[in-house]
Amino acid sequence: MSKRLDTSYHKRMMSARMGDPEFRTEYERARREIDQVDSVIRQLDDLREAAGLSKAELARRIGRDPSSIRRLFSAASNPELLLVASIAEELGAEVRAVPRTTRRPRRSSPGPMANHLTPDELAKELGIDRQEVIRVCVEEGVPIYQGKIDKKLFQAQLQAREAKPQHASTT
Amino acid sequence: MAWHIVYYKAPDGSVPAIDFLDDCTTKVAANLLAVLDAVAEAPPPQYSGGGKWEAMHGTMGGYFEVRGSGPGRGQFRLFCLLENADPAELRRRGLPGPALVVITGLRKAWRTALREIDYRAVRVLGDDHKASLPRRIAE
Repeated sequence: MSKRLDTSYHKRMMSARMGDPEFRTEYERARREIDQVDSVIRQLDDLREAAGLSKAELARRIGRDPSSIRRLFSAASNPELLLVASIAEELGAEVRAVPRTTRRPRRSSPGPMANHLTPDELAKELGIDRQEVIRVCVEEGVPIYQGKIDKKLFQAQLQAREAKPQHASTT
Repeated sequence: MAWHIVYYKAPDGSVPAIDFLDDCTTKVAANLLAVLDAVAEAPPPQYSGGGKWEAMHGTMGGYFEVRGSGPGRGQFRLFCLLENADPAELRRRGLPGPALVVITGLRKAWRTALREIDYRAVRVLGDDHKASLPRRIAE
């Protein structure tokens, strides 16, 4: 049995570097940029799953090699905007850059985003299936922004959806 | 669960990746470290790293690179290995959990490629890391 190594070096180094305002500002900017790209790709993967499409089937539908889709969703390649846009189009979504109206809150502090939950969190909170959450978002146009959903907006859409009269069978 | 981020330490006690980061400008270092943190927080197979974390191929298969750019369009790369195995094997390596190991970094001019001799030097360090039990890391 090997001795257990101390892996705290990175955290201690980051803590020291964060004391430099220039470093902190650039680090936080870079994280926002990275998080946005990651969020878009993960949302598309969620939509793919909700649509019941395998990666290979999605690739076939947009005329791409299956490996390009596998690589994209596993961060094994640089996301190509054209590919991302093609996937979004096939899944009935679009890639948008939305200006932030408020300053992004820090991850650890509650704020305007406190009401925004991930599909998993929302499913757990409302006692419904995660796939159902994503399906409602897709069908009712509830935005999934940076991997999170506005709980109040989702609940309102869900209630409106349940209140809709059921279509009579035409057969 | 987030992975650990650790830095390979050479037999002479130097830590090549930290030496490299210390030579980078503050902005370049901040960008490279931001990618590392993002990947460690959402480790493979999840999509992570904002497109700046890439699996390498060919002679560098098994390695991942963090890509950054800086002054004069200089290109900065950090070369990493993943340590992910069953708990017993990780304990044998001295690791408390899965880890992202930063081996070293290299810089190149825009629109140029690193030479095979440069990659070989990275692999020499990576091979030394993989041959060490427990792993030798910056502590």
